[in-house]
Amino acid sequence: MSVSPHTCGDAPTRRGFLQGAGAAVLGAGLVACTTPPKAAPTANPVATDLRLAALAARLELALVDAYTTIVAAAEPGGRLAPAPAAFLALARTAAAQHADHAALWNATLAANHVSEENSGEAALVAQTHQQLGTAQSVADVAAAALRLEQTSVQTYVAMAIRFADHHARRRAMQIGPVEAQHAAVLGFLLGAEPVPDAVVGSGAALHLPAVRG
Amino acid sequence: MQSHAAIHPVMLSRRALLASASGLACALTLGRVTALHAAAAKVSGRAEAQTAAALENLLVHVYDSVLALPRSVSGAGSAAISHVLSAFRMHHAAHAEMFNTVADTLGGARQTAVDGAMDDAVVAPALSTLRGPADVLGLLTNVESIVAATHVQFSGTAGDARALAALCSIAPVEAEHAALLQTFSALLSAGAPELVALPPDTQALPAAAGSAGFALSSLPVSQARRAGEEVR
Repeated sequence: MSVSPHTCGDAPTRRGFLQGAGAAVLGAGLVACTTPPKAAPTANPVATDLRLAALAARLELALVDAYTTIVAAAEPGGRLAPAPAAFLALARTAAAQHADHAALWNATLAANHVSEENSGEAALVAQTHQQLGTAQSVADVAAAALRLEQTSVQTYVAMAIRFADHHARRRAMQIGPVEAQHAAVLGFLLGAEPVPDAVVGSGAALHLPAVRG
Repeated sequence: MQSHAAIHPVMLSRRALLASASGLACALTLGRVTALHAAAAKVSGRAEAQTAAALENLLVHVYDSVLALPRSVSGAGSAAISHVLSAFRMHHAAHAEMFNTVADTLGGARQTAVDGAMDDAVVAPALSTLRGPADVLGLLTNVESIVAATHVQFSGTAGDARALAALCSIAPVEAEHAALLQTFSALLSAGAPELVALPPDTQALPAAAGSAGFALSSLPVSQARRAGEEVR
């Protein structure tokens, strides 16, 4: 199922080397570019944090939905079966972990007397269903999962620096790196560079300004 | 897999709740809290950036030490292991520069030495006992996991936005490193060193290769290092 947009060789590729060499400059720029906008003086930090937590819950539910579809298609008897054992193990484990993440965010919402989220972020769910519905191979669905995980990681990075509450921020940063681990192993299975960049950006993150209080 | 109990549902902080209250008394209180917090935020993040830079220097040192070992010990005879050792070493050099840039900006001191406390406690004792690739991958996984946990922990205490942005954008990369190293370890443990390859023979990989890299739902922070520990 290998697809190799950034296939590795014996040594770090020239592209990878350049990425590494340029990372310091990129990093300096990233620090400047990802500096969170100052909240408006009238913004309610609790309300903003709760909107972020709700978005995180919907993001996780979209991932659970995607992996449920992927497992159904890839397991024995599924439309795209047979799938490599390693990919099925990844998809099942990731589905369970995203369900854990959704439960954690919903517990935070409930503890703050806010309604829990029950369905995935609509735009993301629709986009994923379209990609998975047209997938012709296990590699196609693995690539779709990789894009979803990358979106999730970058959303967590963008989101974490906006949380006013330190506990919520730390929680986001305990979850986001696990999404990054899913992405790295998916990249490995796809034959792509597993850890292509020295830093995680936020260019693929879900749009966050709408959650401002 | 980590249970839900590992991270308890949190009420948003007292400060945040106070900030949302209304009324004159609350407004006065809020004003005082905000002013005090703003004063602290001017330097909050400097200690975290300095320690993070020293930890990244330590990671560069660990990778350099491993790369200097005979290939039969380091595992660098495998093209895939050789690739990740070199690539991850470059990532950490870039991370050190990023954290030093932040420390500079916040009026701190650039860190050119390794974090001696963690070196003494974790790295140096292990370096002297490495006997083969499995040991090397185990040490690197452990050190990457500790540094990832530290960056995550610091993200809850750093107040400066630049320090926070660096911590949040780098911590996931350390976690990715740990996941891939752990995946390679699983293949060695399964007695299949020939499957440690980039790209891999995906059809031949055991199920463990798909899930060994992320055993827990949430990154644990119990092993996080302490800000300022590099100061001797």
